[in-house]
Amino acid sequence: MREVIGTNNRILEIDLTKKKFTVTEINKKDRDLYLGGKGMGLKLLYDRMEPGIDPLGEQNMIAFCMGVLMGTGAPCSGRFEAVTKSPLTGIMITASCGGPFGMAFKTSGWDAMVIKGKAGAPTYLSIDSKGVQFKSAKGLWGKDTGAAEAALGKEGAGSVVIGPAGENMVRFANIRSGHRFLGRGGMGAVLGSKNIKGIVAKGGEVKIVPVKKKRFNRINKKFFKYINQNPITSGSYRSFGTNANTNMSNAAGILPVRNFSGGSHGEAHKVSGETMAERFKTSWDTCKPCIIMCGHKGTIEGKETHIPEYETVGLLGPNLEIFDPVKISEWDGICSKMGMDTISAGGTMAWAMEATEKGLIRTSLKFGSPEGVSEMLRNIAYRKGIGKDLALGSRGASKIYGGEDFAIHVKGMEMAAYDPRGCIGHGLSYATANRGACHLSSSLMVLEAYLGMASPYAKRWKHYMVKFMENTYAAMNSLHICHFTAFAVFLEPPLIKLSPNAFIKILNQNMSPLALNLMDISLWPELWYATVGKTYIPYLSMLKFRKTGERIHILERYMNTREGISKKDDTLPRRLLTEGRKCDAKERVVPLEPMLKKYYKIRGYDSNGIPKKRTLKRLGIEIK
Amino acid sequence: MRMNISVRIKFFSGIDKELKLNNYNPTTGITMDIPSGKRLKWTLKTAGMKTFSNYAFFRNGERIGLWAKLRDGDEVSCLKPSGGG
Repeated sequence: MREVIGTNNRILEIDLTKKKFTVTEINKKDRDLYLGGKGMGLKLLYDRMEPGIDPLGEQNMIAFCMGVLMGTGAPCSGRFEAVTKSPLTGIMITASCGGPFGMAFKTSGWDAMVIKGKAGAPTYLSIDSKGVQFKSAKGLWGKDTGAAEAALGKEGAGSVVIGPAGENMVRFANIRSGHRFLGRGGMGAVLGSKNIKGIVAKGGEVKIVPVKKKRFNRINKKFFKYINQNPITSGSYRSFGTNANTNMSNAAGILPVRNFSGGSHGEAHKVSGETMAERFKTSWDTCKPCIIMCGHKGTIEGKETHIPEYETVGLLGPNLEIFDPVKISEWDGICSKMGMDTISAGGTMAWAMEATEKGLIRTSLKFGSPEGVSEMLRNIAYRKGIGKDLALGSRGASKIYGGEDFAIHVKGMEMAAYDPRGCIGHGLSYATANRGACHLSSSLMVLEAYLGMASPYAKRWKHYMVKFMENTYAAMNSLHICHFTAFAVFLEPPLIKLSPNAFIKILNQNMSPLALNLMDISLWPELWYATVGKTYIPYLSMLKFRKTGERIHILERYMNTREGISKKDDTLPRRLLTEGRKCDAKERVVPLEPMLKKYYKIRGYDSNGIPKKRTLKRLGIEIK
Repeated sequence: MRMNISVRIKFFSGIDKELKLNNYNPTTGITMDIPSGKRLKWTLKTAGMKTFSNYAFFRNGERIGLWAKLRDGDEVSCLKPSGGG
């Protein structure tokens, strides 16, 4: 097997209309400024795509980009990113996945792929180190994701596929790789619009070796140690999966209940990770390589199946007032096979239940009742009956039928399973996240509600915390390494580990810039530098890493503003801004406006939320 | 004379099993009558918990520390921390 020192740097550019491909190179400057993964995907599309195009039209492109660390053996680095213009939101969408396609693609000798045009008939792409073959997917079209993946699995080490939802251009259709998904924003519909059923990569043709191998191994050892000693990465996730969050969110009052009307429920423990682990005898079923092992499988009604993740449980469970783990698993299975994002499916279903209750639409859906949910999910995937309109998501459906006040989305994307009325900084994060109501843009709810390292209801410095986390996560998603490693990186260095939570909370709340700038996140940039062979300078290299994240976040924002995004879109659903909840004695709402104003200022945006020219210039972003 | 107060403690993440609580119902948790002014750590020790460092504690929806003084009618949840999904 051929050894590649550092990165492949090869881009596979595919034109579906002409059935041709070309090979280009990632230039050194872009690699340095945008890393790989998310950052590289955005840069590639920024250079190639015009604003204003139809997300489901031929002109839209989709980029698949591997992380810098993929294949090096860094912990939890088997992740890849896809970037396109979203048919759900009409703006840029980036999504990350830990499925086997990434490693297969990178070890086929590629770092990125850009797909444009439209195939004349259902097609799948077969990739090896030499390039791509365009093959007929006539026999695969109409098959669910499991069957399609099984068929493609014979041709390579990893694949991505879409299901019927993608073929029918459901606006929140996703892309599957193994048991993981490029979940959000309707990327499956983009592939469906291009007549692409799947992509398979041969893999195993090259081996990635870090440039500074000894240094890399030393840092890696420390990273593994941190992950193995952190109580979140080595405890809850390993024992109960991401669904350990259900009890946590319930205790913190941020669990979505009844279409975000409540924040906790006495029966929530019935669908918790703890309950599922015991009831379904779960074991690990994770991305590779991974040592956190948050993905679990188990036996439900005699059948081995993937255990639903927290977001799925939150949105298809308590948010519908359903507390039956068997039903939630069944719906998770339907969404997986059809190829639909469970967050948007759950959010849209909750909207449909409330719209039915209020007499805006006529369905059999009802909060607290599982009746009709399975059928409606299939109707959405096949766009039958009212499912045709629900396939547009809650924003699209509410524009047709009314009920926009209780459509729980930001910029068209349904909200993840954390109610920001119990963690107001996370509310700011939802409003400013580039792809919509995304919980992964800055994940402030963890600091505020879960770990108690920031006051959940204080406005002070939340704008700074959101900015810091957005930058850090954008860089992390470009390396590309799992979000969950953040707990080990943030919490295990001695300075933080030995400080009492109450002290950190006071420091964060009163001197946030100082506290966050002292935070040691050096493990990530150290791995980056060792992989590409750069000389690591303590602290300065960490600052460079964060500035890289800032550049990536602002580029995405700038691309979105070219699509018409501005302050009017950086908001929250009316319910979260005006209605308090019974679980909170003070019935608090999110005080968004003052936080947003400060956020724009430190971000270098104008008062309408548009990045200023000098901000773009400072970050080296070419103004178009 | 010190008044007694009543607090409800809910255990998750298998803590109830470690404490060998029979017929434990997570919906209701356990109710404890404790002297007023007592702190969470004292209360949990009384309930049988021996180690505390790897757990998170919430009172009425907000994270609290072991030194928080409990009030009459408080509902406290004890569980292993997790970090989002």
